[in-house]
Amino acid sequence: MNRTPVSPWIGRVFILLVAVLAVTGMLQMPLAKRYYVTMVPGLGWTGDYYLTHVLHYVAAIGLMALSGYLVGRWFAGWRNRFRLSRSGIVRLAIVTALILTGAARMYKNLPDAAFGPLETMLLDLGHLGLAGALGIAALAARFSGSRAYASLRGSTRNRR
Amino acid sequence: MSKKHKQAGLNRRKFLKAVGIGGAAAMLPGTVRAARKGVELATLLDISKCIACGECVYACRDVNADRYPEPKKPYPTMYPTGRVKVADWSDRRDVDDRLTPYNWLFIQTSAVEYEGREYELNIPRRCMHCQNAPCANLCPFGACGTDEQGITFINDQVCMGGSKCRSVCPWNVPQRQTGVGLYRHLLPNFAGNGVMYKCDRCRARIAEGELPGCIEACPEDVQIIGPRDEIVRKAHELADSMNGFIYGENENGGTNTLYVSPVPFELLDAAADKGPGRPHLKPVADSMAEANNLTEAALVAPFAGLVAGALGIGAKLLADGGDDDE
Ligand code: HEM
Ligand code: SF4
Ligand code: SF4
Ligand code: SF4
Repeated sequence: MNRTPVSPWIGRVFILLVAVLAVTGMLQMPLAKRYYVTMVPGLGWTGDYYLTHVLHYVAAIGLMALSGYLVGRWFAGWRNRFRLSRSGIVRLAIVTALILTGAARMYKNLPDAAFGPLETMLLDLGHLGLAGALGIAALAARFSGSRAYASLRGSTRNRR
Repeated sequence: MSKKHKQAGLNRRKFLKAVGIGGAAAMLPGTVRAARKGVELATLLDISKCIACGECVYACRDVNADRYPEPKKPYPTMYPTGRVKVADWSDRRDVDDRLTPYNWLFIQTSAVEYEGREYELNIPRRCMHCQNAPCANLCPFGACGTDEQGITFINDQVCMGGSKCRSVCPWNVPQRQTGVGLYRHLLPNFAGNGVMYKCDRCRARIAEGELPGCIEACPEDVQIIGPRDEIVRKAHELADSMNGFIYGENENGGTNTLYVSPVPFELLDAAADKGPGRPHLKPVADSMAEANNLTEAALVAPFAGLVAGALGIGAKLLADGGDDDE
């Protein structure tokens, strides 16, 4: 039996989605052209704002579906047998906040949504700051050895 | 909030004053109330009336003079130098035949023949104020925004000058000035390149109950402003009366700038001088359509996932470690 609840496959999909979101999120900022990324053969698309925007949306939908699934499984049983590690809690909180700010931003982009200019700006800068925070938390988790989000209750490993 | 406060404080006297001075025809009844309630306002431009006198262009420069960029030279070197171009209009402030950071409105002229008649039509061009503006939706810093009154504007305190708004604008409206703005206080050599400028439909004046400068100054009453439904109705009446055409009602999913012309816009577009700072008049599909469709899928995704998770669907398939019956 595994020590963490998620299968390797779920782990891989989660990492892939977050990676796509991080890359396409970065590309929302005007840097691909300036820093020659668009000139790398095969990476011309990185300069297409509409394309990277749609990719960010698609990956965001994937991440929200996966998150819903994991939450469902957690409450349907995992929570009795596993505990979240401290670094897991931190990263999950950041991902949750990214999803919330991102979803609000998505909603704001609908034709009839009325968001004030100040709210829009705070939302945007919040999302950007959270993306940076997630990067730092992920690195911290990697180098401190507490990479797992959750572990079996009662086991002492990966508590941090 | 200050925004609400301002709206509530809309000054009826000033509005009436504006209406009193020649502007009577320019403001539809109910505009004051609509603006106060935060109803979307739109403008209607009857281009058959424009004589290209340029009064609106001068008025725009007048009322916005203290908002123009005052860049400090020399500009910080921007790396990689071969890739980032300096956009400096500060020594060419008098250019008025295209959009620049110092010229947010210009007159485009098209000489065309239509149904055996010669026309020379003048088209005041500026930001269209799209209803679901991609410049605002896609700005990664929240510097470009829309407000309840159907105005799209760029916050010059926050804009980094990356020019994304211009790239995603179907008309490439916003114009860059290097050497000003927030980027100079962050990493001027590596990120940002100034501030983007464009018409904000005189947002501050509207908040004070005044007419936009260009509308107030026009001797021919080319433009009117009012609640969007009314403006759309008027535009259709006007177009019907001259057997004419409308541009801007549905372009890019709908804008708050409706041009009415006696000749088809394809002809005007073909004959107009176009290029950087000189927008086209072509049909434009809704830039945000794909994103809007995806947002519908996004509404369902978390709940579909939640249900699947709660029922343990796919647990076996995924060789899930947490499966109880394993
Ligand atoms: C791990 C998760 C994510 C990362 C690392 C990430 C990263 C970023 C970054 C760096 C930006 C550009 C800066 C900004 O506009 O704030 C961005 C923009 C954006 N993100 Fe995310 N994001 C993530 C998840 C999401 C999710 C889940 C959603 C939606 C539900 C979302 C929706 C958006 C939207 C709408 C924008 C604005 C893009 C635009 O319209 O220009 N993001 N993201
Ligand atoms: S015309 Fe261009 S700059 Fe103006 S609101 Fe539309 S997308 Fe933005
Ligand atoms: S509405 Fe104001 S900013 Fe826009 S073109 Fe007219 S005068 Fe200039
Ligand atoms: S002031 Fe009126 S008539 Fe003169 S150029 Fe402007 S819109 Fe045309």
